Amino acid sequence: MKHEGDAEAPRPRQDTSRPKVLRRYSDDRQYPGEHPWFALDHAAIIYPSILSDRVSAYYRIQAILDEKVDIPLLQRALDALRPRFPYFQIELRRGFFWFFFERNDEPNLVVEDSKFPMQRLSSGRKGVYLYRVRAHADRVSLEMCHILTDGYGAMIYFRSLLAEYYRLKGVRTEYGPMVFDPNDTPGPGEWEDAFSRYATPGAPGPARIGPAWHLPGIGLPVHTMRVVTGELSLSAALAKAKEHGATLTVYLSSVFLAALQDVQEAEGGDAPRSRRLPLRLQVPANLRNFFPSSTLRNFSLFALPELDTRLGRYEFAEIVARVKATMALAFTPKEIMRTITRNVATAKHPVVRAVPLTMKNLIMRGLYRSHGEALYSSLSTNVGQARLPDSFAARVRRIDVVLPSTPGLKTVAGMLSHGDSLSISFGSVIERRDLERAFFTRLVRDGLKVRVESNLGSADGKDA
Amino acid sequence: MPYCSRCGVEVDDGAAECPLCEAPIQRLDAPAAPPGDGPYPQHIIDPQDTYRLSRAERRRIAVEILSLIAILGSGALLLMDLLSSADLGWSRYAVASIIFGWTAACLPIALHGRPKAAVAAVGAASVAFLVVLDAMDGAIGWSLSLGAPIALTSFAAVLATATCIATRRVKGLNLLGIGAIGLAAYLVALESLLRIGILGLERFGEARPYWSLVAALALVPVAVFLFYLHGRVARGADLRKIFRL
Repeated sequence: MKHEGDAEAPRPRQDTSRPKVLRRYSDDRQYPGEHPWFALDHAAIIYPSILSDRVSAYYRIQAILDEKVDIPLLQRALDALRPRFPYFQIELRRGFFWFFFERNDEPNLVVEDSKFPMQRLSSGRKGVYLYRVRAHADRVSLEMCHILTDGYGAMIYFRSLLAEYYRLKGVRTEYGPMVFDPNDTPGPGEWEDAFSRYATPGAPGPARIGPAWHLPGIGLPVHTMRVVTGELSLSAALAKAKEHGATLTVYLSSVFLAALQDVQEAEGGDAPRSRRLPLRLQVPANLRNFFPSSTLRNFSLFALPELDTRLGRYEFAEIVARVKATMALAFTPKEIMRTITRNVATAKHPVVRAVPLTMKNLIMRGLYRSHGEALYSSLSTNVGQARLPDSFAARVRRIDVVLPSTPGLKTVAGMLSHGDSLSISFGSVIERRDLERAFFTRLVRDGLKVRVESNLGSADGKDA
Repeated sequence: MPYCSRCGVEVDDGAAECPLCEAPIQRLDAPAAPPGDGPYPQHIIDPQDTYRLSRAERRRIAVEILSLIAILGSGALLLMDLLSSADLGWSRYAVASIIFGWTAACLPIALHGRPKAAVAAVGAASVAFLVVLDAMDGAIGWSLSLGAPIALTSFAAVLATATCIATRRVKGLNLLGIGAIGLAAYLVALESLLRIGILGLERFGEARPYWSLVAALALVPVAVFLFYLHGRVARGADLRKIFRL
């Protein structure tokens, strides 16, 4: 009988004599030793304060393979990969003034998937990781807490995990900047809090904006959520975006805003238009495209395209033009610097730093509601191409990204493409599905063929 | 592939209704795939938990059993007293004790997951029990001057110490230190209450605690030493990370 290990492919680069390096932590602090720790990055510091049973801050990347997942092999792949990403092998701890990360040496086990993904892990307990790998049938999922990293960092981890899994199955993969060799040593730049590096003291902050309209709706029971995933042809969607003179992100964001407008109009009834709140969509972008950084921690910010529906109903061409213009203006280094500087300067302010964490938590929860979620109606992120290595890309049928919703935003969307498959997943914590329906039926009316699936039927949503 | 005639989207072979509009899916060709073949597993947390009694069910059964024992026991004692002396005498104390025992056992079960509320409720029940016992003698005396204050202080001390212990993420020698601090505070309060209860409020000036202060002065350094051992030696704590500004 052939042993499982016999099938393992040779590693392209073996590094058996791993040098013991001094770990570099954020804020230029170096504390080697038995209990290394480091600070949260400037995008992450808000999340521990807002975590609750209804706000998990976990998002999910899942791949549907062409065969059933071999869970023991996946566990071996995860165990082999973990040392390469030490900044994810941590637990969240409370200091007197700030939360911080501390090394976690507990085993991280692959867990069985469940009907309701992305439920919050007990980050308050010792030894609990801020991410987990799950498996069910032919699907591998990585649930990552935003405290650790953004979609870019999670995708690299996920790609590397799949590469190691397939290497153990005998498929050799060339390592590179998108797929890390488990035997490599982490570079110091990967630990970096890039926000600190690019904050520019004295830069003015972003303009203030008022609250946005939010979806109404009765919430699903706590610890449950609905995931609706639509799959369509990437080439067809790209062609359609080109028809409208837009990129895919601009096109899909415009469809999202148009769907929000449909729902708002249906909801508004006979209420005067002048009393409507604007529709605003958060569209995140990877800041590594604007500021050189190799960090695998959070480094993303967002644009907020908006429709002021008090002015009347927007035609789709108008929405596309507005989204395109807003994103072009927002995603420039100078504009991004405004928000980076505001966030970093606030966290570094002596008075803010001196406030004990218990009080900070209360303040941050309030600020998140009033200056965070209140400012945008929903969130739509296009992670882009999965860019799986050719060696096993054909063995992955589809990749999805699913975002967790919150009681404030209620329904959010994540998009990811692999091969010719474009996956659009909505995460929702309310019973009504009219936003998802308005979005996908708009795509259908635009001539695109969409296949839709969900983790629960209508009865589940009401009774679960 | 089946599709929804209202939304125009395709759906899974096994889907009985449209995930968007909940309209039933019409099938003209092939029969639907069996349920359970959907994209997500049907179990919510752990399939092994499906056929077990839930924790809430277990709690309900425990309260039922305790209630039955209390009712049968109380009834038997009352009847025995009545049969032997044609009056209710000693059995009142026994039944009051059974009722208090039932309350003290059932309240934490009923208030599962709310430890502070449970301790507060048991504390209130204890005070009520002492007052009732005192009143059975014909007048209320010791229960208000000594019984209730000591009971309330004891529960407050236990609650504060337990809360402090529960909030520690890393549990070790520090728990002993917290226990020592809690005990020191409790002893000072206890001696104060005893002196006030015995001597009266008008002689409060003479009621300064003495032996409890000696005990506290011995316990506090022990606690500080335990905290130091726990943080510095066992955990390798770095004060820079705790107090990082």
